[in-house]
Formats: sequence, C-alpha cells, structure tokens
Amino acid sequence: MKLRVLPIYLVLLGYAVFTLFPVYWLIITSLKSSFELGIVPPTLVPQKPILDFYTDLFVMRHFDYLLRNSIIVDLAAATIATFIGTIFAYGLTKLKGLRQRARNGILLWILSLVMFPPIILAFPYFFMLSAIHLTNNMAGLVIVYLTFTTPFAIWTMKGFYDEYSTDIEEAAMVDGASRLKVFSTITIPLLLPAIATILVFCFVFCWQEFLYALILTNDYRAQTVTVGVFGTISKWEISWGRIAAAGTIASIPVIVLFLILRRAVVRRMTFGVVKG
Amino acid sequence: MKDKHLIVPFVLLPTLFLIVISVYPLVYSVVLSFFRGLLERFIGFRNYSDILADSRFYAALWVTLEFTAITVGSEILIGLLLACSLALFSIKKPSWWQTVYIVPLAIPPVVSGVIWKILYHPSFGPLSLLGLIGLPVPDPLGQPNLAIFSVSLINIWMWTPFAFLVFYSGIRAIRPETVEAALIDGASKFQIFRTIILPSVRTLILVVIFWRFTANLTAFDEIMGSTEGGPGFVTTTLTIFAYWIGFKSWDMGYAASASVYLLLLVAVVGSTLFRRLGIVKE
Repeated sequence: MKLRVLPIYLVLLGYAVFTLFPVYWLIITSLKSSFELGIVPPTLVPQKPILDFYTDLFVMRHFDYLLRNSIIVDLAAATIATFIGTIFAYGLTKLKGLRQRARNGILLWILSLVMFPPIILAFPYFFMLSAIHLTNNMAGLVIVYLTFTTPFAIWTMKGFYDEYSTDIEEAAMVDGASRLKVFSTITIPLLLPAIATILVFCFVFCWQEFLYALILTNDYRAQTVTVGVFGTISKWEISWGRIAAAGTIASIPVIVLFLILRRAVVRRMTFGVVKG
Repeated sequence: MKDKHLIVPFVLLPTLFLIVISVYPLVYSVVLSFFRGLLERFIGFRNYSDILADSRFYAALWVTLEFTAITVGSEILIGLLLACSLALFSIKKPSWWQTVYIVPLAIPPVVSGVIWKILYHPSFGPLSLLGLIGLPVPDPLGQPNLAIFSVSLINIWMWTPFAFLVFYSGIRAIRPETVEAALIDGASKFQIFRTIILPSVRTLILVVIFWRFTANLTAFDEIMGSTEGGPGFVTTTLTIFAYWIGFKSWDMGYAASASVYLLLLVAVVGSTLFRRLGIVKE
C-alpha cells in the first residue's frame, strides 16, 4: 500500500514545485545585484543578496505612495461593498414582502454583474470621471472598484444568509423585537466572521485589480501597486531586478494574508460556487 | 408583510446604487459605440458593421477562444487530478498541500504575467540552463507559434488552484462509507472513480467551466504583464484589442462596439452554462 501511494506523492510534489518555483524565482531575481543578474546561466541562489532594487523603487518610483494609495482605495471600496452587500443580501434573502420572482430576478442580475467583461465599463468611466474631475483620483477609483466588489459581496453574503437559520431571529421577533433590532443585535454579530471574510476578499480583489487602475490613473498621486509593477517594464532599459522587486512587493502582502487565513481561503474561495 | 417599510433601505436603495454605478455606465458604453472616436459623430451601427469586416477583430476573437479553451480544459483536468490524488489516497498532511497550492491565487494577475515574463526569458530565466546541456533554448513569449501556449500556461498556473479547491471540497463531501463499501465489494479505484467520484463532481465541473470560461474570455492582466498582446497580435485577446483601440488609438466608439460583442459572447456562453446549472433556485 505504501509503495502504491508513492506515484501520488510524486504528482503532488511535482505540482507543488511548479506552483512555488516561479515565486521563488521572482524573489531571488529581486535580491541579486545587477552584476549577478548578468551572469548566464543565472545562479539558482543569490550569492550576495542586496536590497538595492527595493530602495530604488521607494526612492525613485514612489512605491511608498503607491502602497498607500492601494491600501486607502482598497480599504474604502472593500468596506463600502461589504456594508452594502450585508444589507442588500439580507433584504433579498430574509425580508418578507418581496415577490419570489423579483427576488430571483435581482439575484440573477447581480450574478450577471459579477461576470460581465470589465473593459466595457472602462470607456464610460473614463468620460464620466473626467466630467467630474475624478480621473487620477483615489475616490474615482473607489467608485469603479465598487462595480465588481459590491455584486461579489452581495452574492457571497447571500450564501451565508442561506446557511444561517432564522429560528433565533423569529424567536426574538415573537418576543416583540423589531426586524431592524434583530438584524443589528443578533444577525450581524453572529455573522461577523463571515462579514470579515468578505471584507478581506474584496480587499484582495481590489489589490489585484489592474485594468481600471491602468486606464484611470496616471501618476503616483492615485496609481496603485499593480500599475507600479507594470510601469517598471520599460521598452528602453529593462531592469529585471527592479521588475522582480516590484512584483515581490505587490505579491508578498497577499500571500502572507492567504497563509494566515488559509482555512477561510480554502473554504470560501469557492463559495457561492459550490453551494447555490 | 410587516417588513414592507424595510424594503426601501434594504432592497430598493442598494438596487438603485448598482444601477447608477453599473447599469448606467453600461448603457453609456452602448451609446459610445454608436459614435465615431470620442463621441465625435453619430454613425449608428457603422462601428458594428465595420468591425465585422475587420480581420484584427476575428484574429482577436480566435485568440480569445483558443486561450479560453486551452486554459479551462487544462485547469479542469489538472485540478481534478490533484483533487483526486489528495482526497482518495491516504496522503499525510493534506492541509499542507492545500496551503502550497493556493499561493498563485494570492498574486495579482498582472504580476503573474510579469513573473512568467522573467521565467520565460531565454537568457535571464531558468530556461537558459537548457543551453548548458546543449539543447536549443526556446523563447516561449517571442516565438509566434509558442506565445499563445505560453500565456495560457500563466493562466493555468494562476487558476488551477481554484478548480482544485472546488473539486477537492466536492470529493471530500462524499461519505467515506460509500467508498469503503465499494472497496469491500471489490471495486477497483478506477471503478470507484467512474461510478462514485465522477457523478458527484459532474456538476462541479460545470461550475468551474462556468466561472473560468466567462472570466477567461475577458483575459487581460496576465497577458499585459507578459506579452502585451504580442508578438504581432498573436496573444491579443478581445479585451486587449479593445484596450489598444480605445486608449491608444483613441477610437472609443469602435472599441466600445468591440467590447459589446465581447459582452454578447460572455452573455451567451454564461447563460447557456447557467441554465444547465441552475445556481439560483427557481
């Protein structure tokens, strides 16, 4: 039996190497000196690790601003989306007085908003944000980010409400508590872990976003980290070390976050997907 | 019926909010597509008919379909293989493997493109080691016949973990007694796979196809991070095509009509798959 499991381990190990090697390569590339990067074939372990490319990004390329912008924009968008999602999904799943057909219609519509191609909103937002002077502006980016985070938050929050039994709510209402009071003092506290999970996922989606940020921002006052990474790729002089350092800065925070929240990611990455 | 007063803040206002931030811009985009350039001249359906005579559009459409087919197919096969390996055999520390496999999901897609751009580099990347042992060193992003497969591999690297997680949770939900009973009855692993595993993941395969198909049809980030649509136009998907036309050639009307075609494509594929799924209970 032991021997028969060996090929399975090889498959799993092979895929693990395939998964991690690119990340390893990114990190070592960012730590090598320009001289070492020029060695062909490349070294597999940096001989004298340096942080020059990182300091270069912060000193010359405003990565301090870009990180700040990303954090502000993503936190704002994630918070607003989660707030709306928590309320809206409750209204759609728990409130009485809404026709079943209207309920399903709205849910389908929200699902279609999760799916539609992002590029199609890039053109109108380019005009609309110019008209109200919100291009190259963090507030403008927050609005655009709400177009994909809000439907996601609603859809996933619906999944949580579906699993969540209404017995406690109904018992409290029989005792005379109002719907609003039940919602705010019983339901929300009970679902706080779920709400926090959605907040984190919305934050991560915004952190990873690239297309809108590329189109709607043009300097360090509003650009996000992903655009910063793209900006290090230059046709004129390619510095692989600088590109790799930027990529590492953009990736490590979310990798660490995912490793800390591993259980939630494994269980919840698939939510709204496995269960309807 | 006593919730009536809450319908306004809990349903109506959020609906209005979504209409303002999503539906209104969508309509705006359709309006744009009836104009030449930046809302310069109303030309009706001209953009739509012009695009149907544009060979670049068909090239981008073909790249999009090819990319989507390669990636979704591979992600399902590899994801299923990994999920079965981890769930059906007595593997030590399954959570450890899961942790490793989810790493690519954390990385911003454009950065994944950049990572592989470095990896694929014929002299700075690990491929140059092939040269050491006398083999020809390929240029996966530079050779036109290879580029589409090379960018597909980036997407496969990024999204196979998603398929894996979906399948793994599905297979884990099968009661072990079922499998044990089958084993006692003398069923082979393959028979178990065919008669117990496959039926239970069949819906999940559709689920993964649904999400990955609709998402990969709109691929942009990882391709911009690696090839920016090149060499030539061999990795220019519809989204990249619309991006170049709209924001480099500044013909937004034309680009908007291209993106409306893309929307139709996603909508047709999405709703066809969706009907077979029934995610929302009717």
